[in-house]
Amino acid sequence: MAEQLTEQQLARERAIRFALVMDITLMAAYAVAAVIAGSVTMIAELVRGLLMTAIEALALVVMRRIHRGRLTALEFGSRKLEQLINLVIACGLLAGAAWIILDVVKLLSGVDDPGSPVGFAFAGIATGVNLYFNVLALDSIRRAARGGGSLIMQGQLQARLVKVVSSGFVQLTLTIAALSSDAVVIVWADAAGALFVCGFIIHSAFGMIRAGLPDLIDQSVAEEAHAAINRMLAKHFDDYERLDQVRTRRSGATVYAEVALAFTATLTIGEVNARIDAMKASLREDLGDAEISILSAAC
Amino acid sequence: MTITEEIHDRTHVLLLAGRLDSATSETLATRIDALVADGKAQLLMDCSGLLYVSSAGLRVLLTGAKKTKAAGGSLSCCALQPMVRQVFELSGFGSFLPVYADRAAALQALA
Repeated sequence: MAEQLTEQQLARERAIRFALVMDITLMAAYAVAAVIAGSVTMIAELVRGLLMTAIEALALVVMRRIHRGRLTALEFGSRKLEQLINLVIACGLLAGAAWIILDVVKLLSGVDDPGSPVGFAFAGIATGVNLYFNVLALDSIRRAARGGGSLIMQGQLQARLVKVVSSGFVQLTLTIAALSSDAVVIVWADAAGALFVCGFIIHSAFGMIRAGLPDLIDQSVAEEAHAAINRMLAKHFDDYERLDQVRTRRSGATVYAEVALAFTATLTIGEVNARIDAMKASLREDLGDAEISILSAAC
Repeated sequence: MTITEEIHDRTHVLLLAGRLDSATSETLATRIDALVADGKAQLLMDCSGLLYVSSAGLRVLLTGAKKTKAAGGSLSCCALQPMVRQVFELSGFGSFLPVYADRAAALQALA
């Protein structure tokens, strides 16, 4: 199947794969740095990094399926599964943020000791490498995203830009903590870095929840959509014999409409399909970009 | 919504009062089905007391029109309130559902 992919598609997959591999490598370094430094900022970065890397991996899986024509797998169940995974990750992010805030409180209140200067120095190096890799990944994704047309790439570009800004600030706070000999400065620098990362975590989590929840929970369709269906049924009143059922739902921004009609048994399949196509066209004029199914039965 | 019934010659009149929406449309649908099954396929909906009709309510009228037509009869409406008339016009229901100004005109036409 690879030879069927365009150069642009391959470039996009390479860009995300590259970013993913770097992130996983860095998370390993961050884990070591967090243990050595005893820094709350590093723990916060580790939590954020691990969960966001999980999302990155999911984005790569989705993109690969789209590129390989497995689009039907994205309808209904698979799409909802992806949204569910996103929501679980969002909840994990919020739980992580709560844990980090608790650690910051313990650090500021003196319950926990600040990290060691050597540890902060190591953490500073790790985050410096992270910042460098984030800039490289940003450039790679930016070049691959040129030409538009991929929502996943645009999303990844935004996410990577946020990472660059975030890791830049963390780099600054850890450098201050590493260079300072004043315990108060060290504690506040570490706390500031951790809280900054926390802010990003909470912002990302709520964004994911806002985006994913409406898609997961089917909602009823607005009256305008029902009116549109009625207009179609009225317009094509003589084209069918019986209206059996109308089912509608809304998932996120997409309206799903299913109309079950019965047609005269003497009509050919072609004639029935032609009528159904005309009805769908009428409904699409009114509803716009909706998923429309017209089921037929004979009577 | 309340449904009061009267019989005028061949025409079975259903006087609708209140709101015809998703909560009450099932009642009307069931009544229409029963009448058609009982051989009473010439139905007139007197809407003088009908204050509101939703899309679900309209769909019951459409389904009723189909069923009465299949049974050799018809479903008509009369005395629409302005708001209900507007809904009928916007939904295009006037194209297949005969609508009369009042009950007298309807009964005369259906006689």
